[in-house]
Formats: sequence, C-alpha cells, structure tokens
Amino acid sequence: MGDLFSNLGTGFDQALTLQNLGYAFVGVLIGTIVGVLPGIGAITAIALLIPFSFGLDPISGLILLSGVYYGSMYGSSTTAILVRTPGDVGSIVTTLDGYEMAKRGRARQALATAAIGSFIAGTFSTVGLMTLAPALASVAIYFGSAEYFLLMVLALSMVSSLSQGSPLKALIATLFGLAIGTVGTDPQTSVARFTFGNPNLLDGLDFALVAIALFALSEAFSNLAAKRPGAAAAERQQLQGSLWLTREDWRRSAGPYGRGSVLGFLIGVMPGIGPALASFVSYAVEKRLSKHPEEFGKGAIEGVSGPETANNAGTGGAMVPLFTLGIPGSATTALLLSVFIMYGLQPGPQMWETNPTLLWAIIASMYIGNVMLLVLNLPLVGVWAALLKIPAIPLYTGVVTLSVLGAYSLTYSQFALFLLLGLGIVGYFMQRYDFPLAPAVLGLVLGALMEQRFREAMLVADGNVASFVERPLSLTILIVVFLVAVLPRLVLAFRKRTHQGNQ
Amino acid sequence: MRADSVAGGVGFAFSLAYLMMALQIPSPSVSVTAVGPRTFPLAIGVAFALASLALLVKGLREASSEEGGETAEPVEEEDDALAQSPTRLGVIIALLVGYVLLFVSLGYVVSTFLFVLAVTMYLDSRHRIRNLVYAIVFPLVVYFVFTQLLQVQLPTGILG
Repeated sequence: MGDLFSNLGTGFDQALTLQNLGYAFVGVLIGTIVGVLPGIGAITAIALLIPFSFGLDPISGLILLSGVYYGSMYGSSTTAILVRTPGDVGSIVTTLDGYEMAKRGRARQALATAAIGSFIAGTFSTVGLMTLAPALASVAIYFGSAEYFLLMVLALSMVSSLSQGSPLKALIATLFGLAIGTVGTDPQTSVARFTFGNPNLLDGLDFALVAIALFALSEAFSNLAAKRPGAAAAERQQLQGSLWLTREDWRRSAGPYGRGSVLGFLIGVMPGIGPALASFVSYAVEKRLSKHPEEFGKGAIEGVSGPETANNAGTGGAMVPLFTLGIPGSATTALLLSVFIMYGLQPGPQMWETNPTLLWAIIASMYIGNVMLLVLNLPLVGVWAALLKIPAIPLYTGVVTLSVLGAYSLTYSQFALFLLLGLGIVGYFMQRYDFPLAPAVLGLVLGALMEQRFREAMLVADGNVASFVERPLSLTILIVVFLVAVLPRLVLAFRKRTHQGNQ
Repeated sequence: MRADSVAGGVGFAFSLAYLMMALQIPSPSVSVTAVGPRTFPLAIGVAFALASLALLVKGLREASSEEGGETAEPVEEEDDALAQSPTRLGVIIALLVGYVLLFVSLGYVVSTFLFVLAVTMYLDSRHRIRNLVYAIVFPLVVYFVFTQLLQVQLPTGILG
C-alpha cells in the first residue's frame, strides 16, 4: 500500500506540472466538445490529434489523448438529453429517460446527475485501475505468445458477439479490419502482401488514417448527404430546471451511482466490450431493481444516473487491459495503443518495471481531469448546449476538411488522401448497411499483433497447434473464449426483454 | 431484407478477390518461421468468405419470406432523419476528389476555401454571406492553429 502511494505521488509530480495540467485541460475540453457534437466522438478526435502528438513528449501526449477519451463520455450525455441523439455510443440509453426529463422541464437536473455520476465513476474507476492494474500486470508477466494470441482472439470474439445489432455483421466488420491489416510488408519474412506493387502500401495502412476515414469521414458523408441535414438537431429541448438536485433526486440516484460504478468498471475491464455495453447493462439493472419500473422511459432519473455512471466507469476499466497486457478492448483504446507504439513504447506487464512514471502520470492525470470535467460540465453546461446550435452543413463540411488535413499530416503524401477517400466511402456504406465500425478498427490494430504472437507461439511449439490446449494458462483462456460464444446469447435475450418492456 | 443480401454479396466478392491475392503471396526465400506469410491471410479470407456467404443466404431467405407481404421500408425512410440523397452524396464525393487533387498544388488555404465554399453553397444556397465568411475564416484559423501553435506543416501552394 505504501508503494501505491509513493508511485501515485510520482505520478502526481509529473501530472501537476503547469505544462501537463494544460494538456490535461485541453484534452478534457476537446473531449467534452466532441462528446457533445453528434457523430464526432473520442475516436475521431484522437485520430485527428495523433499527428500533432508526434511533437509532444510521451507523458504530455498520452495525458492529452486520454483526457479526450474520458472527457467525451461527459459531453455525450448533453446531446443525448437535449436532442435525443447520442453524442457517442456510450450514451445511447441515456436518450430514453434523459430526453424525457428534458421534455418535462428537468433538463438541468438530468445533466447534473449525469455529470455527478460521471465524476463519481471516473474517480472510482481510476482507483480501480490503480489497484487492479499492477496486480494483473504481475500475473501477466507469465503469459507467453500463445496466451497473448488467445487473449486477442477473446477480445475480437467479444466485440463481435456483444456489439449492437447483428453479430454476423460485427464478425464481417472484424474480418474486414483483419484483412486490411495484412496489407504491407510481412515483418517476419519481408514479403510484400497486398501492396499491388505500390511503395506507399509497403508500411501498411495507418491506423489513425483508417479511423479518421471510417469514423469522421463516413459520419460527415451521411450528415451532408442527408435529404434534410440537421433535421435531428431540430427537436432540441430547452435548458430548463435547476442544476441543484432535490433530496428525492439524490436518494434515487445514490444506488445507480454505486452500482453503475462497479458494473461499468468490471464490464470495461473485459476485453472487447467497452462503455457502451456497460450503460445498457446498468439501465437494465436499474429498471429491474426499481420500485417503480413503469417510470422508465418516461423520465426516471435512475435511467440517466445509472448508464451515465456506468459508461464513465467503463473508460477507466478499458484502460486496465491496455496498461497490463497491451491489448486494447475497444476501438478507442486500440488507437491509444497505436499512440504508445508510435512513441516507441510497448504497453504490457513489463512497462510497470521499465516506465512506471509514465503510467502513474496518466493515472494521476485522470484524477485531475475528472475534477476539471466536473467543473467544466456543471456550471458551463449552457455553453456546451449552445454547441448544438452549430448548423449541420458548415459543421460537417469542416469535419471533412479536418479529416483531409489529419490524413495529410500523418504521412505528407497525396496517396494518403486517396486512401482516406476510398475508406471513407467504404465506411459510409458499412454504416448505411448497419455494419458496426468499431470492430473493424479493433481488428486492424490487433491483426498484426495476433499474427506475430501466433507465429511466435508456433515457432516455440515447433508448429504443434495442440500446444494451445497443452499449456494450462492458454487452455483456461480458450475455455473462456468458448464461454463467450454462449454467454452473449443470454445477455441478448436479457436485453431484448428489457426492450420489449419499454414499448 | 434485400440490403443484407447485397451487403453479403459485396463482402463475398471482396473475400474471393482477397483470397486470390493471398494465394499469390510469394513464399519467403528462406524459411525462417514455422508459419509462413500466407497462412494468416488465407485463414482470414476463408472466414470472411463464409461469414459473408451466410449473410447473403440470410438476406435472400428473409427477402423471399417477406415477398407478398407489405414492405415496411418506405415508411422507415420517412422517419429516418438521415434519409440519404444519392445525388448529394455523388456531388460531395466529386467535390472531395477535386479538393484532394488540388490540396497540395493550390495549398491548404486556397483549396480548403474553394471546397468549403462549393459544398456549403451547393447544400445551402440561402445563406450565401454566411457560407462565404465561413469559407474564408475557417481555413485561415485552422492554418494558423496548425502551423503556428501545433507546428504541423501544411502545403502553402500558390500563396507560398
């Protein structure tokens, strides 16, 4: 325990420098803004900021980008509550009761409970990260290539089976990510694969470029090509009510805060499932436990407090596999992993020995960032609501030009721009045909790592595939992978039942 | 649903092309690994082909069972705030191709000005002055922020 505090102290020493406080602030500020703007989320903002973070030292760069990640969860509730459009995937369920509260003149109370819940969860999950991660890392040190390979298979099968909509489409999206991940020079044999003789493709596809194309560009396309651009934002509710929660509001929110924090964190830790599912589970749990379930969908405050707490706790949880195994559990943390790699750092259990200062500085900055977010989001909520008045056409035209700018500054080549355009069109049609985009990015990032680990494992085992079953650790993970194929069906059935209850 | 069979068909075609190319990956001159460069892509390609074929079949099956009954799709379109116009999409993509082609030669500020002006005027011709002001101010602000504050180099083009 003494160790923990001295480590955290070192982290705060780094995070509290004027420069890093500034980066944390800019990060959470950008996070809040992109969280509020519908269709532009943390992943877009992080992808666009990657070229810029080349110039920063790793601690500042990662403090900034992590701030964008957890900050976006605060902002997205504003949009969900006022416009009934989720600002980000984590706030889909908040639209149910948040918007109803706003319609009943309680918009400010809804925003306040979302911000307070987010703060509690953000802080709780940082404590969880701080205590759980080093412990997990000390176990993970015994993992070999076979275990890492299977953990990544686990992450991908979770993301396919648990994302919203059709699992088959999520699987296809994952495979698409894996497929485009094989473009480029094979690092082990130096054989060029799928490059069409084009030297620009020898290094493979840039993760950030693919993320910008799939998320930012495709979203901008579908907003600009809409028959009535900005139609969704037209139903905006007025900011009414008081920011002060009544005693009754507090009483009803306390349970959801607590349960949402724990649930959200635990779900976030599991590879392949992120904050979005955490908010769904929290909503279902609150509805089931409530003494007046009939109020859900009609402005029940628990329906805002719970999910908004859970999605924020999920972001802290999602950092755990990234920090301890170097395996991202979501598209956004996958992008964060690529930032680590860009800095020449390899997150994983060894990092707690080789570069603890960096990890503790990020953790410390998360405490600070959450305080900043509470201050930013409670009194200034009117400012963020005003962002929703930005007309759709100039906004998304701006997003298109920023995507081009971001792609260009990654490699300074025109080829990158054509690649961006092509993938943007692919992303647009994937979105139109209800293919989830996040598994594609996760597949892209994990693909190269998976192949490398698989071949290492095979080399060690002399090509004996049975070695995956013979190692006790890898066998355990393999069993979990099988469980994942059954478990999600239960969760889906559970979710379907709560859905039917709403209608 | 017809959409699923179309998506499945496109995916299947993609996976076949991918598999064909995967088969053409040359063997490494010296065998240094137990697993060669072809194995992983082939596995992905086969899984991709199976999954998209499953989607294709599922889509066709649902389409045939829906036939004769009422199709709910046009009603759904009305509700969708993001109902799409293919013409608009085509024009925007064409303008974007032009922007990408001129990005380096004209420079960031000029090409972005032209692109923003063209897109906003095409989509919203009622706010001419707002569009013009935005098309001038936005590229200048972004250029200043990126080159001066963030130290990211941008093409200067004809203004350089």
